[in-house]
Amino acid sequence: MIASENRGRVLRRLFRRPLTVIGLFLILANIVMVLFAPVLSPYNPEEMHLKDRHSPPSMKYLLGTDFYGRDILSRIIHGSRISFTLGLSVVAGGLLFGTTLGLVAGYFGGRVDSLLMRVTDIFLAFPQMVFAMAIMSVRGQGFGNVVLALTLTGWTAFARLVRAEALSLRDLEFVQAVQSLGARTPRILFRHLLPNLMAPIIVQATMGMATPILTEAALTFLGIGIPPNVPSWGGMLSVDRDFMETAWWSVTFPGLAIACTVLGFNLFGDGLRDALDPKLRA
Amino acid sequence: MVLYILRRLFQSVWVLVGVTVLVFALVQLIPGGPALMILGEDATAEQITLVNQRLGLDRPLHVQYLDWLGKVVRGDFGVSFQDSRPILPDLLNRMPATLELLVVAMFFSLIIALPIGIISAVKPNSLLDNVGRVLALLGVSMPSFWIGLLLIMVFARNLGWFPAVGRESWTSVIMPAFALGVSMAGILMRMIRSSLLEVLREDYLKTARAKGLTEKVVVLKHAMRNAILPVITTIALQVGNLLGGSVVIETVFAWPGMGRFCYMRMLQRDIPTIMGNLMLYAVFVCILNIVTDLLYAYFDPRIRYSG
Repeated sequence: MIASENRGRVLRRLFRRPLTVIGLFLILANIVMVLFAPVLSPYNPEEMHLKDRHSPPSMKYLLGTDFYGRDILSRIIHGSRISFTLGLSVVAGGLLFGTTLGLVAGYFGGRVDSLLMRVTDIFLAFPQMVFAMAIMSVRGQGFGNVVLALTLTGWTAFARLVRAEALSLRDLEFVQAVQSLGARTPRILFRHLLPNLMAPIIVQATMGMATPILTEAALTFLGIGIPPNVPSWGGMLSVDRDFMETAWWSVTFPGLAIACTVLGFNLFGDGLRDALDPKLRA
Repeated sequence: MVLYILRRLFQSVWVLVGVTVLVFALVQLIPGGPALMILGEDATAEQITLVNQRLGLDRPLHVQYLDWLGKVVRGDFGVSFQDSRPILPDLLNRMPATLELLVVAMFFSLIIALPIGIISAVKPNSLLDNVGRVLALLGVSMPSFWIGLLLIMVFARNLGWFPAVGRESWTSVIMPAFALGVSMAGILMRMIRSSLLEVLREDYLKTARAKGLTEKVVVLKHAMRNAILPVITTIALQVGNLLGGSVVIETVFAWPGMGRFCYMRMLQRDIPTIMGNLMLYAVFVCILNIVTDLLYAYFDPRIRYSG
């Protein structure tokens, strides 16, 4: 755990770098969109202005309209909800599942460790995208299924990270001390080991928002992710991909929203890693 | 070395056995089972029983699994629900197109990542290093299919420099490969930087400089030889991701490879083809991992001799 006297130093190191601050700003902007979508949107995202189909960016429609005359800005703002909640759910699933398995594997070592690591090897044998697509094609469209597909393909990252860290901690004196005091295993794992792994886990959780958001966008773009009746960034790209010569704005802005969001998590995660573990920074 | 190779192969066999279990388990995820999926929602119980009998789905799970496994091991991936053709030849026919895309994408990402990564490591925290850092993070943050769409919009539709879709001329591969390679370039750039940065601190390079070698020789010949090892692993890990990304990119560019074929069969819920395709991808990744480990052992004798 980050001790309080350290916390100030970490925060100072974190905000010293402009790129990290930009990352945090992008994340906060995203959270504001997620929380206040109905207030911020100039129009109802579903409302079709059929007279204004594919109208270019203007004062009336800041980012233009799509094929059905729906306001792109409003749809982007509402689409943030899908991406963000999905990213959170998948990271939460990965944390729960991956961290537990990783802790167990790293702490016990030996047979348990090699068995659990073989299991992650099996999951890693599939390209993530293909595995997720296969799950979606048998389960069908829907938010829950996307979460299922991306958690099943994403938990290994947490498991491997936590396992490696736990392995390096388990022979340290403080672990031996709690062992000799007779602490039960779950207590050692979650009360003593886990708090010492928080730094890398926080970094992984931040950076780990990026992949699900990107993969969901791709799945939805391909028509096997979020159903088309829900405003989502991938879905917006899919609706207008055939009209990009005439309506460049309709494929440019939703993609930019994805890129900015993912960039935010990557920038902030990168800065966090440097601030929490200065050894890694040359 | 022989022992090492044998042990490595043995490990992969177990991973592949696990893969078959996972692929088989995928079928069990179908809500209501495959028969309901084939027949549609308003199938009667008799129809479902009939289909289950015909496909052998009424047998106990382990019998079904072992039967399927036996065929897969012999290279029989079954026939497609869609057109009743054997699956494996249809997949293998499309492999060259996908490999072409992967190789060119890898080439693009290397020619982008190598120079920027090396410069960033030689001059850490310089302006160039920071620009490189932003570029790398930008590269991994943009959805590759979106890059593909923008490339089509600008260079195919507006400027007409490259064909937008298909694989008719040699210029066809450039745009899809570039879109696919961008994110890998970002990751490689960071990897090359950190790996080279670490090596550059080592004493043997001081010796090399003291001998009077030019900085260029010191960095490119002496330092890179050691720095390239972790980069090889990264490339191998990334090829798996490229393979996944290629499914989306092939669809955007109508590239006639395995990925697009797989996607179309997924839309039709052609379960045997999906299973066959997953197996093929997993075998490909496993072979790749073995080759990487062997390369690694070849370059770094320490691995060969220790546990």
